[in-house]
This record gives sequence, C-alpha cells and structure tokens, in this order.
Amino acid sequence: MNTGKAILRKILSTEYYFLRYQNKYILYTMGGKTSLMNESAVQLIQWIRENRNIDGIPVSLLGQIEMALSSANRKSSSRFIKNRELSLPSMVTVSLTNACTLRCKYCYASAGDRSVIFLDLNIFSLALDIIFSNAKMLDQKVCKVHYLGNGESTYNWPLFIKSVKMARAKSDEYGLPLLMHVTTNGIFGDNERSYLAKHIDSITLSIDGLSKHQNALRPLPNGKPSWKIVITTARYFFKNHQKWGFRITVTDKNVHDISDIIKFLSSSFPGIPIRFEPMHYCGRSLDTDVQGPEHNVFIEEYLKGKTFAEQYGNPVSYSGVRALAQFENDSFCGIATPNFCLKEDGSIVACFSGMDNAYTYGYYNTHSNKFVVDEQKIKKLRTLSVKYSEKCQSCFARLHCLGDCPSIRITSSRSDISEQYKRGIGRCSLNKSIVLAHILMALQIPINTQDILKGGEISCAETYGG
Amino acid sequence: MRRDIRWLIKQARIFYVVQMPMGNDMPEMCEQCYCWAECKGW
Repeated sequence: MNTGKAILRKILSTEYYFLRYQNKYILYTMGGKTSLMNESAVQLIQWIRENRNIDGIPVSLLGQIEMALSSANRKSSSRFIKNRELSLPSMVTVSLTNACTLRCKYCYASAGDRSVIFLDLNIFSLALDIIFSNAKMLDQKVCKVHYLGNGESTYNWPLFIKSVKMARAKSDEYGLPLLMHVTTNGIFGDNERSYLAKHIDSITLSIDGLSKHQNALRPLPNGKPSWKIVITTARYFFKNHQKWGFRITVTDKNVHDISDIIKFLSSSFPGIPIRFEPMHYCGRSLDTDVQGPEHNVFIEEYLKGKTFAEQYGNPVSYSGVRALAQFENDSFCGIATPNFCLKEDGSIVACFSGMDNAYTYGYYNTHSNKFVVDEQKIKKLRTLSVKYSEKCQSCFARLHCLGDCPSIRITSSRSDISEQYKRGIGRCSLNKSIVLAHILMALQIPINTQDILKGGEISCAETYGG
Repeated sequence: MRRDIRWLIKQARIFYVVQMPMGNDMPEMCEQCYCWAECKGW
C-alpha cells in the first residue's frame, strides 16, 4: 500500500463520479474502477478531498479507498492519432454509387431518389495508391477498403467486381495484405452471395429485425417486400462466411420488438454479432412518418434482449455505449481522423451521413489527377473528438460514448430544430442510462429500467472531477 | 478530529470494487462506422 501522502494525492488527482442508484452509492473513476459503498464512505471521501487531510483515518480504510480509486493507466495517445497528425490514411471507405436496390423509409442518403452516379474507377485507383504508399511508408502490416456510402455497393455488380479485383491487384503490386469489408442490404442472388463469401473478408448485413419490420421499412423500389431475399442472404452467410454481423436501425416502428428481434436472430444465427442503432433524422426520414425510438423503450428492450443473446453467444452492441476507451483523446468514429471516404462523385468526405457540408474536405482534380484537400477543414474536423466537446468534460459516460456521433451532437444543438425532430437525436441521457446499467451489472446489482432512466439524468449532478 | 468525521470513519463501508473492461470490447469492429473492420478509419 502507498503512504498516506500518496493516497491523498490519488484522492485529489483522480477523476471520479458518485452515482446514486435507488439507495445505493457508487463511485466510478475515469479509469473504470467502480465501487459499491455506503453514504458515509461517500461523505468521508468528499471530506478528505475538501480538507486535504487524512490524519486519524485508519490505514485499512485508506487502503480500501486507494483500491477504489486505483485503475489501469490510461494512454494519452495511440498510433492512429499519431498518424492522424500526418494525414496519411491507409484505409479508404468507398461509395461506388448513389443508386440502391431498396427504398428504406429512413435512408440517410435518400438513395435512389437522385440521378444515378457511379464512381470512376480511375479515381478509386488513385485512392488505392495513396493508402498502399502510406502503409508502406508507415510500415503498417495491412491496408483496408470498406464499401459503404450513399447507395448499395453491389448495385452495379460488374463495377463492384472490377473494383475488388483492382484493389486485390494493388495489394499484390505493393506486397501488402488487404482487408475488404462490405456493408450491404443483402438484396441479391446466390452468385453475388457466393462471390462475397469468397472474396470479402468481413460483411455487415443491414436488416430490420422481423419480416414485418423489414418489409415495412426496407421495401424494394417497387414497394414489394424484401424480407425473403435478405433472410436468404443471412442464411447463406451463416453457412459460408466466418466474419459477418447484423446491423439493425431502430425506429418507433420496431423499438418495442427489440427483444423479440434478438430472440429470433440469436436462436437462428447463434454467435453472430447484432448491432442496434437508433435512427438518425436526415435524408428520407424527414419526409416519412418514421420517427426515432422512445429512449425508455429502447433501453428496456435492449437490456432485456442483450441478456437473452448471451445464452447463444451473440454479442449485442450499440455504438453509443462501449467498453471504456483507452485514450483520452479518442473520438466516436473516424470523423475526427478524418476518415478518407471517397464519394461516388470523386469528393472526399469524413462522414457519408452528415448533413453538414463541413464534412466534405477534398475532391478529385481531373487536370492534375490528384486529390485536393482543404487543410483548414481537416483541422476543424479534428476538433470533433470527445476531448474538445466542452459539455462532455464533466460526464462520467464520456469515455464510453466518446462524445457520441458528432453529426447527431451537432444537429441536436441546433436551435432551429423542433422538439419532435430532436426525438432520437439527443442521446446523452440514453447513453448515460445504459452506461449506468453496465456499471450496475458489473457490481451485480439488479436493474430496474425506470430507476436507471432517472440515474441517467441525475448522475452528472453529483460529480467530483480530478 | 471532529466528532462527525470520527463517526463517518466508523460508519464508512466500501463493499466491493470492480474494474470495468477497458479497450475495444468489440475487437473486430471499426469505430469509423462501427462495422467489423477494426481499423479506426486508417
């Protein structure tokens, strides 16, 4: 055990929060230590902090306090953050088209509504040269290509295959392994399923839970149901692919059924990860009757389903709550890196779903055959990490949500947005409640959703930062 | 030492302490879009 002075220093320098749940007192440090204690212990720690005095306190009690505050050392930066300073991406996220084989009621890109654009593969080739050269220079072991974007990557199947072959050829040329990931709606036949299973390293399959949700929220362009096709794709991947998972958008239409969705998916596809994301208001959702989920229902259903899924070994996740981040200056997503996302029109964006033009920071110049980037915009994007979010600095949950989706954060702070529109946007209380639930689970305290919801609101009022 | 603090010392109980998991709990997921690519964008 440390000396009295060292313990006092720890009490004064550790950032910790007191959370109250029902009649229980919990101390939570930003190093992830969580302790269950009584009110007297809370008052004593506060008294020590305020008076900078530990005289007369028994060594055994000081030892317990020290244990409650000690936690693993946090790293202040990571390799990716160092690389970020250099603007040297070794991964490209590519949007091959804005066309789509579905007409999802909440599509962030309103895919299929505009005149169709396909990416010029010469531009993709240039992007590949950039990531492979950077990886070589940085001595990285792998490069990554991720298909995502404003439409369905497999919509133009010949273009998709050509792009995969091109990327694999570059990998051979540079002598560096390449990992390829596809996020897809799964609307295709067995030829496409077989090709993806053989040639793509990992796959995210978007599905909306049960057939009634999928057919209502993710119809085909002619309005017909899409369930049979997507569930056939899921079954094919289950048999033939090792690394894939489900992504479910949660709206007011399916939030009440989350636990049933989890029951169905985990019993039909044991071990496959399931990710839930509440709908973000943008794109087509602004013109349809689909709304974001009620947070209290989301929390209740999510926690209920998560426990059930554990029996089948299906990891269930939601991006707003993760294990404690290792880096203080981390960000919710690669937007603050910024991401190297190549749009179908040749522009470079940090986020495909962002409504704000601020996320576009470069474009392809046909004359010079080069990408031109706006350094000022890059600088601004880098301030989107949790470290620079003022309102997050006194929140116990900030290293679990990492400031949450910057696009959602920015939208929810706009004053010109109606309350109805904001529903499902301001996710702070939702995230805090789920973090609190995870803390309670770690302490093996039974959970009551209504009390957790209250906890999400009050927990930040009782904080003592270091 | 004040009487009320002495009383606090006598009553204070820390029942148990747990370390929450740290790092990426979904190791194969990418924080860029939270998919499976484990890349953090770059």
